[in-house]
Amino acid sequence: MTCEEYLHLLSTSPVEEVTLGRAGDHLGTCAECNRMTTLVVARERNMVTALHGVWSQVQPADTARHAMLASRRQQLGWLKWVGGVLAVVLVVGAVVIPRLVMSANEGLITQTFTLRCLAGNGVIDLIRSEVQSEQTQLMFNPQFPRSFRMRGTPDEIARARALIQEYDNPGKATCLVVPGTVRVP
Amino acid sequence: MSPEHSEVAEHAFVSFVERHKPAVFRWAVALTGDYDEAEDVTQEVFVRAYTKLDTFRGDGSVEGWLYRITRRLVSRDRARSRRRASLAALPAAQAERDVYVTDPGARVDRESALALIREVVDALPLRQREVFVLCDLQGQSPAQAAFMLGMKDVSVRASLFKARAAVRRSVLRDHSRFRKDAT
Repeated sequence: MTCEEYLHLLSTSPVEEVTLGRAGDHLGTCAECNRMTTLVVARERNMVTALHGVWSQVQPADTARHAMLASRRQQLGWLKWVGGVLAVVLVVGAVVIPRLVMSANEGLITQTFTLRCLAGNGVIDLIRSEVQSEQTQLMFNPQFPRSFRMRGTPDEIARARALIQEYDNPGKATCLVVPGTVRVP
Repeated sequence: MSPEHSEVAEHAFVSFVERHKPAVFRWAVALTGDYDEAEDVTQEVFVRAYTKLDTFRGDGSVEGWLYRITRRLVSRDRARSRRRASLAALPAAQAERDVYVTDPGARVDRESALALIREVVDALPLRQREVFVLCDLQGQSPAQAAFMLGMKDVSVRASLFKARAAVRRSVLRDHSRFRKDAT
């Protein structure tokens, strides 16, 4: 075995293997490789000793107690977090959403209109085309064809009333010409 | 859980820590090259272990499980430790550190041991360092190391090959026949 071959072996093999067989024969004849091997082996043995000699300055019992405490604290923290989120959801559900709904409904009034010559469902179509709003509600009961109910802002109710006054008048021809309206006999 | 059960569980956990702490601390030192960092990592490993003890499936060794926790924490804390190292190098930090030297003899032993370990830490990337420490410094077989690291046996052997070459290069460089491309 040449020095190059031996060095290649020494650079990549476990230290137990570099003194066996042909490698051992080479070591017997080459002082320089012998010295290198001694250095490598001694250095790694020192590393092993050093690593096995390190010790923690904290007692295991203290580590264990602290770990248990910290773990419980973390779990408690997690529970608090979940509790906090639930509380926020509850507050939003119980307080904020009803308030939003209330504020959306604030100022809305309900009015029942009685008609003279037009049918309620026809007037509803008329009002829907003229008074458009998300909060407007128009309710018609077929049992009472000459009336309907409307829920909306005072302004919308006033506009609906004006429309009804304009078209629902038996004495005027307009009662007959409203497109899509049905005249009740 | 009743107080008696709780006491038994606590006692069992203390025994568990006593049994495994030396190995966990050694891994932490070998992976971080820093005692303070290793103490923090070791503590955190047992916090995690205590929290997740009921999720340990038992289909591998406890050692392997603890090693994987250690490794994850070291990887997570690497950026933090780099920052700490840069702060510790400041002159202001040096004076503060010296205050805590209560046993200079022991400190020298620990420091010289750490210097040797740091040779490995500084010379090798994390994966090679892990393989070298587990196989050559802690006597695990490549198969055992592969299991602990979740790697293939052949990858462990390849990493070990490279790690040894890197660690030994500084010594072999003095040989008159040493060629850089030989390794």
